[in-house]
Formats: sequence, structure tokens, C-alpha cells
Amino acid sequence: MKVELLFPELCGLYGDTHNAKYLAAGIPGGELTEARDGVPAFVREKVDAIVLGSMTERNQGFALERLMPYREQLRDLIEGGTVFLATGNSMELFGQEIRVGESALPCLGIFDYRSVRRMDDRRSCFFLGQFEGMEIVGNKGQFSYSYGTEARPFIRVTGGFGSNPESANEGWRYKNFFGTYLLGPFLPLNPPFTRYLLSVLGSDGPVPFEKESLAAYEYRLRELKRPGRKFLFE
Amino acid sequence: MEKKKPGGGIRFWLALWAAKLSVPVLKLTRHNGTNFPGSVAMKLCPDFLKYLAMPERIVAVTGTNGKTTATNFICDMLKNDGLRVVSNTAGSNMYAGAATALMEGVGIFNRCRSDVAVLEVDERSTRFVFAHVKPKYLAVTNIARDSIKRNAHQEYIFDLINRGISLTPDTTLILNADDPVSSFLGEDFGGGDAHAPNRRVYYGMAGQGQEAFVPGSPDFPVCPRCGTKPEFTLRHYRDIGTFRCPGCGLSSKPRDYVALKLNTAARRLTVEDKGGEVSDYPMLSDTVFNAYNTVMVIALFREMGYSRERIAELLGKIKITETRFTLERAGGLDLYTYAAKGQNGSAASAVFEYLAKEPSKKELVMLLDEHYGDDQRIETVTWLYESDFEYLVRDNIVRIIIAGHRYLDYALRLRLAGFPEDRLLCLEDENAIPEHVETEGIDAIYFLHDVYTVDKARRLRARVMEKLSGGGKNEG
Repeated sequence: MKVELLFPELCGLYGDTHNAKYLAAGIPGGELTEARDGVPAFVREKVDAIVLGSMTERNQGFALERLMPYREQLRDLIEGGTVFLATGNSMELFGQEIRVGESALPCLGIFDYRSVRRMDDRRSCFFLGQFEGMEIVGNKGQFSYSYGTEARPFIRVTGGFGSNPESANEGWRYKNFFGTYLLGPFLPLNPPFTRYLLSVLGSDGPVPFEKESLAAYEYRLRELKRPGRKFLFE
Repeated sequence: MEKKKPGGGIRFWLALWAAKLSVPVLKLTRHNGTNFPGSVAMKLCPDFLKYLAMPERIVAVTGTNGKTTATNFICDMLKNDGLRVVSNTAGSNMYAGAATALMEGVGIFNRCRSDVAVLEVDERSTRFVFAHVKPKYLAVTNIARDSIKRNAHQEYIFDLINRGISLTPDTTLILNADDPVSSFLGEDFGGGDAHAPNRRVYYGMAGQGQEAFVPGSPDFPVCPRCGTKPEFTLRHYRDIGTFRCPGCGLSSKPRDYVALKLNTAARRLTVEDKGGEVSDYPMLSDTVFNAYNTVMVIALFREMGYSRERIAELLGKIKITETRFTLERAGGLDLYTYAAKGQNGSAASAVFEYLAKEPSKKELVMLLDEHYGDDQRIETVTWLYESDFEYLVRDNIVRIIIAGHRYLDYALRLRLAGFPEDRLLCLEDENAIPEHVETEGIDAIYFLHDVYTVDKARRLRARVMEKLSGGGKNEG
């Protein structure tokens, strides 16, 4: 089974690249693959999961340039049930556009949501949420916000904020596409969800270093559920 | 000579006098080195800096890593040259800190009493400070991965500093040619500001035959002009070196001042000026980071008109306070406290590389945590995944003890990096460290600490020394 770490040089902020490594390590015989000469691996070979992460705002433009020729192929892969995990602002690439002031950066247009970038309005929070009975933990830091994601939310927010400051829902889920503004080592921090994703990929084994991962997860959960706990960063 | 400024009306005078009055009050109440005077002034007169008299010569220093050390160098050298210097080295590097320092440089009638101001300016504050403070020189150390909470990412910081630079077009920029991020300050890669007209001077270092580890999370992962992965022909550490973009040809800036040779044993540095003259200077410590600070300071002082001989003389007079490490000996072991800067993947990785290459067999005690129970001070763990813990998977890193609030996160990260479970101990209670320290098969113990945990590291080391039944003090 192959996990594509998509454009790690472009989408490698905050340690997000560890999500693909963690996922591949959880699959018996799992293998990481990457683009060659700017052409994604999914173009040349069958991949079972595509993982991409946080990027700078300029890199969003470069990533879109590289992905635009494969827009229909990406749509087909999503419809066909390939697993996608897009963390941080990478989920914005799959929407309609990223509005920046009076102009807009056209995105892949696969999903209906739209994003707005406001570099002078950065918001960050610790995060607690629910997905199919699982508790999701992590943190976010956003210069941009998505609107129209309420139709297919990924996570219900219980601590922190959602895809935009007014939303009680976080991210976008369609079939096996999971997009979330949660950033950094999302999978290592969330062993229950990683196990779920592994099961979608047909693997029922433990997550890598499950003992350590679960211990850290449970500790963090207790911390985030502490009465009076603050979520928003000052 | 001072810059004359128009009067600011009664609000300005009230602000100045209130700020002045607060200084002795703070001294009496033993609150030296705070930004309170500047904060008071700004509250009473938001445009306080607009009206405050300032010396003609202002030097500002910014960048991710090394700016405090560099600012201290510059201050000490100027003071040793007999100049009256004001600086915020004892206070904050934000707007209020700059205001406090500059306020201290004027009398109650707003007459400038200093010859030069040296300001360390936080990267995010440049756009506020430079609205009213126009440095003659802005020296930049580097821009690298830093705390996500404060600084987000390198491109964001690059654009913020550029916004600051756009407010002060007459400032000469002293830039690190070997840092592919900050060397392009003043240029526009789509961040909203057109190319700045500022004069630019570049410093750097020639290859010293070293082989730097390739960072897992690079500071300069793609070319800012075309998005292609750059090719490095030289790395001093991390992405500090010489690159070329195979996509568009963008490449490192030519250096005006270049350190040709580092003689770390003799602590001497050979630097070639842009005119081709080569001179020898004292080096203030044996690290490549401080070699960069030194060559930056040499470039700055040359641009300020100092002769090479005078610069060498002034550098030679600096008594550097070594805050990076302290060393004690006990039980036949070297016991270090060593600064590692948590929450900052670039700085932590540089320290990990040093520890991996330093050949002694060692045990590491990591105290890089922030404080438990304060939601705002406990930061995220993303930096653990931007730091190259993989460097520590070596035979000479015999054992790692992690303690503190984030101990379980460290345990997972180190296991993912490949560090063996049987050489790793993770404890929540830091006070339990001494009883778990093992000395078998090691030459040294390093207590790695953050800015806020230096005292804790020293206390724990003292307890370990007691356990090892004492030893002679060596150096600090």
C-alpha cells in the first residue's frame, strides 16, 4: 500500500509531514511515495492515500499551479474512495477560491466551500472536538478561514473554533476525504482517528507506537477537559 | 548630533515626564529593566516616538536567532569606543522596550543625551517601531522556523520585516548572504511591498570543510520566486549556506564581507572586505553561530566608518558572558547546563546537531517544557515535529531523560525518531530526575534548558552533583 506525501517541500510547515509517515508506518508493508519533478505520484502509480499539510500562503499558489492540471484526476480519486488527509490550510486548495482582499486565487473547485485570507487577523487555539464518537485533539493557527463547510463538516467543535471563527464545525469530510485546519502531527496526536483511517485502508493493526501515542492522547484529553480550560490563544 | 522633531503638545510632555518619573520609582521598588516607562508614555501619547528626540545614529538588530547576542556585542563595542549608548538590551524588544530605551536617552526637556541607540527589535515589531524610529542601519541575523504561536512561519516574518523596511527607505540593510530567507529582505516575492530602495550590504562565510546535517524541516524548503526545491552547494548549519534554484536560477547573494577562515582553537576569524582587504579579528566564541554574529558586527562597523584595526581592537575588549552553557565536574563527569530554546525547531535542531557531533558519550536531560497549569504558556507540540530528534539517534547519545509536563509527547516523538526505548526515560516529575541519572558508560551529562528553565537546570545539576558526592568547579 502506498501513501503519497504530497509536495513535502511546499506543504511541510509545523511538522505536518509526519502525518503521512505515521500513516504509512501503521500499514503492514506500507510505503511512502512522493512526486517526481513536480508531478504527483498519483499520476504515475496507484496510491491508496494522499496526505498534504500546512503551507505558506505563497506556497498555496505554487501547489495550485502544480495540481491544476490533475484536477479531474483528483476528483476521480476522491469519488473513487482514495483516502485524502489535508491538514492546516491545505484543505483550502480543494475548494472554490481563496479570497485575498479584492482578488481571489482560483482553487481546484472540487468542493463548494470558499476561503478568505486575512493576514492581519490570525487566530489560534487549542482544539477539542468529536468525530463519530471519537474525541479529536490538537491545535490550530489560521490566517484564513473557510465558509460553506457546514454542509459536510468533519469534526464537531467542543473546544476552540471551527473552519471560521463563527463555525461550530471544523473541516470538511466527503467520502474518504478529510480536510481540517488542525495542523502539525494530527495523526500521532490522535491515535483513535489514525486507527479509524487505517481501518478505512484495510488495516486493523495497532497504530505505530500505540502505547506512547495513547498515553500522550489521554493525557492531552484530560488537560483539554480540565474545568475552566482556555482554548483561544491571546 | 540629534534628529530634531516637532513638538508633540501637552500630551507628549506629560508622557515624557510621567515616563521619566516612573524610572526612579521602579528603581526604588526594585523593578529595573521593565518596559513600564515606555508603556506609560505610549498610553499617554500614542505617537510618543514621533516626538521623542533621538540620536542621529540608530542601529537596529532583528532576526530569529542570535539578535540578543549581536545587540550586546554592538552595544559593548560602541561603549568601549567612548560613545554614550542607549539600548533595550535589559528590557523588551517590542515597541514599549524601544520607547523605554530611547526615552532614557533624552533629558526632561527632550534633549538627546546619547550618541547612538542600539535597539534589538522583535521581528513582528519592526513595522510598528520603524513607523517613527528610522535606523541608520538594520542588521539581520537570520529568519528561521520559530514558535508557531508567536511567529507562524518564515514567509510571514519575512513579509512583516519587509513592511517595516518599507517605512524606512534610507536605512542600510546589513544582511546575511548565507541565509536564503533573510538575504532577500527588501525584495518582493508577492508579500505586498514592492522592491525597497534601501542600500544593502551582505555578509557571510566561506566553506570551512564542514558537513552539516540536512534538516528534516528546512527553513528554506522552496525558492520563493518559483517554488522549486533549491540545491545547496554549501551548508554551514541547517539552510545557512549557498544555494541555487534549478527552476529559475535564483541564487545566494554575493557577500561584501566574508569570513574566509575560522580558527576556533585560536579564536580568530579572517574576514575579507568588499575592497578585497583581508584582516584578522578576535572571535568571541567557538561556535559558527557567533562567528556569524561577529562577521555581521564587522560589516556593520566597517559601514559605520570604523577602521579594521579599530574593530579588531574593540572586539578584543569584549568580555563575552557565556550564557550558552555552564560546566561543572563531579564524579569524573562533565555536567553541563546547555541552552536549547524550546518551541523553536531551528534552534533546537542546531543544538541537537552539535550534541550529535560532539563525540563524548553523554546522557541528555531535557528541560525544554513550559509551565504546567498556565494555558497560555503551554504551547503546542508542533515544534517537536519540526525539530530533528533523529540527529540524537547515535551511539554517543547513550541515554535521554525527559521530564516535565510534555513528557509523553517527547516519548512518542523520540520513539518515532527511532530512539531506542531502553535508553529513554520519561518522567512527569522533574524533581525525580537526580535519582534516575545513571553514570555508567558516559563522559558527560547535558541538562538542556530553555530561556525560562535555566535555574531549574542548574538546581537539578546541583542535586546530581550531590548524588555523585561532589566535585571541583571548573568554568562558567
